[in-house]
Amino acid sequence: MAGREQAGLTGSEQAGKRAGVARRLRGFLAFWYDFVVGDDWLVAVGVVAGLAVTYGLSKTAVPAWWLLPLLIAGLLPLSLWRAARHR
Amino acid sequence: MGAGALFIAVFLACVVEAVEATTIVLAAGTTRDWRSATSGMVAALAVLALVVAVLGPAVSAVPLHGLRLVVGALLLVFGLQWLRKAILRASGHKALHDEESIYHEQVAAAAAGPRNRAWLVPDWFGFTLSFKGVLLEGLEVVFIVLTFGTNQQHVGLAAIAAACAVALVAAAGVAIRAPLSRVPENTMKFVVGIMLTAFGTFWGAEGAGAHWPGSDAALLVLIPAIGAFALILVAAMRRVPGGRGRPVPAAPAPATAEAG
Repeated sequence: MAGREQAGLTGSEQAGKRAGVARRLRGFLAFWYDFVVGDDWLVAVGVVAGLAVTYGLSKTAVPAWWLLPLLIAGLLPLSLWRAARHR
Repeated sequence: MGAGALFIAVFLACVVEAVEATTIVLAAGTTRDWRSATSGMVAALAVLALVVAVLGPAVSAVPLHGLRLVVGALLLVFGLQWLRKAILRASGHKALHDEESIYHEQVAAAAAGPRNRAWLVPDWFGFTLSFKGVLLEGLEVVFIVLTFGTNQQHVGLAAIAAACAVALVAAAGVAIRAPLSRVPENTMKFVVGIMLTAFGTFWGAEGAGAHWPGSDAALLVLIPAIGAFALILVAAMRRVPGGRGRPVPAAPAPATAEAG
């Protein structure tokens, strides 16, 4: 009986430790998400997509430099509109 | 153009981050213990120096094309987020960043913390508060110094700009021992947002294989164009419900209300 209680305690301690590690890992990932992506994920996704299309265009005869400025002209107002709408 | 813009962008970004870090150190020092707050700040600066020493050569070893693509993408995301916040603040959709009120919040939080001694630190809570504040604000500075420095092949100049900014803000903080609420932080964030977005666009496109007309001179068009566009967006956002469409006649403006 005492041995089983001992084993149970050890098990709950291990579960507590695992939960602690998971919490710290979540905190670590949340910090990097907040650091890199920030308040609006759409901006990060838009930038990555814009760079991918720029890369694709650069492999053709069409000039590719204009794409990112055009993307900003659309992405920034869209992000601002989303922020104002959620207030 | 390259060196001047690099210095201005790094200097302004570092001033903004240093002001925020100084507010936290001042709150920890005033309410807790100056020795612990100062040791926390010094420990964080040492960790940041270590990060630069380790990451600096590693970043320099990455081929310039790949570096410009990754750094351009990150700077563009950072820049657009800074600019987004600055436009929301300038148009009244978000409260202005106010060091005075942040200082009072930090002081209240610091006063409530437990007082424990650890190793050579008289007050562990004050130490960690200061350490975390300087480290978190400093990480962004380290990123900007390394990316701008390696891309423009002027890491030394970027480091000098960062050191000047930190020294200036630290000296002001020590001199007045109060939050640096008179620094036009919101306006500076607006300018830095424009610079980061312009450099991110330039390097990101180059890294992805695009060629700018006029090469580096394209930055001379990109920076003012993005600045003008941001100002137009501020004006437009003031007309959106919730914005600061019309000035409030009677209320005096606070010291920090200088955004945009």
